[in-house]
Amino acid sequence: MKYSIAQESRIGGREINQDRAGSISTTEAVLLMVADGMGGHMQGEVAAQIAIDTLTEQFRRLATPRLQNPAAFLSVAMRMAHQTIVRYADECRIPAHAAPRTTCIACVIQDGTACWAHAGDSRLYLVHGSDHNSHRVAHTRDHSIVQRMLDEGQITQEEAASHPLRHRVFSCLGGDATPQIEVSPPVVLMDGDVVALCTDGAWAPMGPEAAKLVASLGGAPLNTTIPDLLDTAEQVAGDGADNLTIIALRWEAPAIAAGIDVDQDTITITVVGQAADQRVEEVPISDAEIERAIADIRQRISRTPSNRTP
Amino acid sequence: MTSQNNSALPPGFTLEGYRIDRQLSAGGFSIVYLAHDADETPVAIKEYLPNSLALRSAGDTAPVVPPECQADFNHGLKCFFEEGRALTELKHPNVVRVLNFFRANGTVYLVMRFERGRTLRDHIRESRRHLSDVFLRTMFTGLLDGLGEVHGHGLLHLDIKPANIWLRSDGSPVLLDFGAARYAVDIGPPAARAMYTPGYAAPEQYHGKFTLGPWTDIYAVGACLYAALARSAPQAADLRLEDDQLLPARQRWGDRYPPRLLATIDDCLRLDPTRRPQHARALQESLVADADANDTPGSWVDRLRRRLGS
Repeated sequence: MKYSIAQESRIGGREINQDRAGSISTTEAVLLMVADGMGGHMQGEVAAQIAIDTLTEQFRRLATPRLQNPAAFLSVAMRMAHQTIVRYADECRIPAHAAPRTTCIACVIQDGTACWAHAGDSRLYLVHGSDHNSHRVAHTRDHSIVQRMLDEGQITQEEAASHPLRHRVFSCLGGDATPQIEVSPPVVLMDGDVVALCTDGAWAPMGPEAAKLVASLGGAPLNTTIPDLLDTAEQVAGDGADNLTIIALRWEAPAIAAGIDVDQDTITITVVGQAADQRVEEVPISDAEIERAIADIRQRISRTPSNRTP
Repeated sequence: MTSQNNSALPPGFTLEGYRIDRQLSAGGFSIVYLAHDADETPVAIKEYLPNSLALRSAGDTAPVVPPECQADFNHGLKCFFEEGRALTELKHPNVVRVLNFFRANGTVYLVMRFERGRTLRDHIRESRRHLSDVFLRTMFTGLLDGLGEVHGHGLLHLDIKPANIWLRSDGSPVLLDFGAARYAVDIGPPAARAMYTPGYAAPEQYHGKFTLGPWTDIYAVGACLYAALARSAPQAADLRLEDDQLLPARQRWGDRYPPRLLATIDDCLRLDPTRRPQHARALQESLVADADANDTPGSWVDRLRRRLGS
C-alpha cells in the first residue's frame, strides 16, 4: 500500500477546539477519522475524543492486519463509540438534554477500496481523476436539518448557507437518540485519488466553492494544499470562525480493479435501536427457534380464508 | 438513492418456487423484489438483509454475517418475525396481505400480494396539480379503515408515511411496511426503538413522557395529509418541541382547501397527544364532516357517510 496522509486542525475564533481527528494503519488497512464535538453541549470535546479513541482501539483489536468486513467494522465501532459516550454522560450524571455529543466520520481503506460511515455533518470528500484540472469531487450527504430541507425543496442553496438551523444535525454520537449511521458502498480508488475528511468549520465557509477548492487537493502535495485550504476557509469565516479540521489521504498505488463509479448517494441505515442502558442481549437464536417461528407464521397464513387475489 | 451496500438477487433467480423479476426497493433492513409464483401471479418478496450487519457480494446468495454482528442480526431477525406474525393477523383490503413466509439463503423472506400502483410519495411528487380535497378525504378514509383494523388487533404501525402508503391503480390505498409495528402492550420506553421517520414520527416517539397509542399513528396520518398539501414533510416533532415553526394548515392553505379539512389536519398534528383525534374512527368522522357542499345522495360524501353508518 502506498499513500500519503496529512492532517491539520485549527481553533478558529473559538475558545476551545472541540474537533478531533486521527488515523491508524496496519500493513493492509488504514483508518481515518474526524469528530466534531458539539458546542452548546457540555464537554463536546470529550465526546469527540471518546469517538476517536473507541474507533482506534477497535481497529487495533480487529485489523490483524486486515479487517474482515470494513463496512460492518465501521458500523459496529461507531455504535460502540456512541454507547461509550452515553455511559460516560451517565457516570458524570450529566442530564440528557446537555449530554456530550459529537459528529463522526470514519473511512477504511483496504484492498485499494475505500468504505466510510458517518453520523452528522462532518464530510468526506472524494477527489477523483488524476488528469490535471479535471478532478471530480463528491461528498457525503450531511445529516443536518438544512440538508433535509434542501432535499425536500423547502429552501435553496443560498438560504441553506445562512439558515438559522444550519448547524443542527439529526444524527450524532452521544445523547438520548440512537444515531443513524450511514455506511457507504465501497469505492475503488485510482492512483492519485484523494479522500478528505473534514468538519463543518472547514467546508461550510467555502460555500458553493467548496468542491472547487477541495479539488485543489488533487494537485500539489497534501502538506501544502491542506494549510492553503484551511487558510482560505478561515479567512472567509472571519473572526467568528468555527474550529476547522481536515485529514486527507492520497492514494498512490494503482487500483486492483477499475470501473466502479463515484456515487454521491449512500444508503441510510436506521440501526436497530437500544437505549443507552440496554445493551444488546446476546440471544443466539437456535435453528429450532427459527423453524418454530416460521412454522407458526405459515400456520397463521394458512388459516386465512382467501390469501390470493381472486 | 440508487446505490446500496448489498447485492440484490439477480433477475431470473428462483427461490421456493418464486422467480425473481427485479428489485422494487431497498432499505436499511431489507430488499423488496417483484417476483412471480408458479402460476405467474405477481408477488412482492421482502428479504431480511440489514445493511450494516450482513454483507452479500455480487454473485453470492447467502450473506456473510460477521461474528460481532450476529447478536444484532438475530435481534433484527426476531423483529422480522414479529412483522410477519403481525401481518398474518390482518386481513383487510387496505392492509398489505401476507401470502407466505420462508427461510432460504441464510436469511428469511416475507411474500406479499403485489398490486399495480405507486406510493403516495411518488403520487405527491409526480402530480402536477394540487391534490383535491375529494381525493384526500376519500383516500385517507380508506386508509383509516385499514388503520382501524390494525389498532383493533392491538397493533400500532408507528411508521406511517407517504412512502408506506400504496395507491392501487384504482386509487384505493394499502398500508405497507409493518417493520416498525409493535403490539401496544409490548411497548417499552421509546428510546428502546429507533425506527422512525422525522416529520412523520409523533413527539412521543422521541420522548417518553406520553405512552404510544393509536394517537401516535394519528399524528403520522396528519403529517401525511400535511405533506400531501405541502409536497414535503412537516417540521420534525423533536424540533417542534423546542421551537415550533410548523405553520398551521389553516393558515397556509386557508384560501384553497375547506377550513374543516385543514382544521382536522392541524388537530392530528397537535404536540399534545390527548388533543388529537384519539382513534382512526374519530379522524374518519372528522374528515367527512362538514363537506356539505358535495353532500347530495350518491355523492362521495354520502357514500363515505353510509359506509361509516352515520
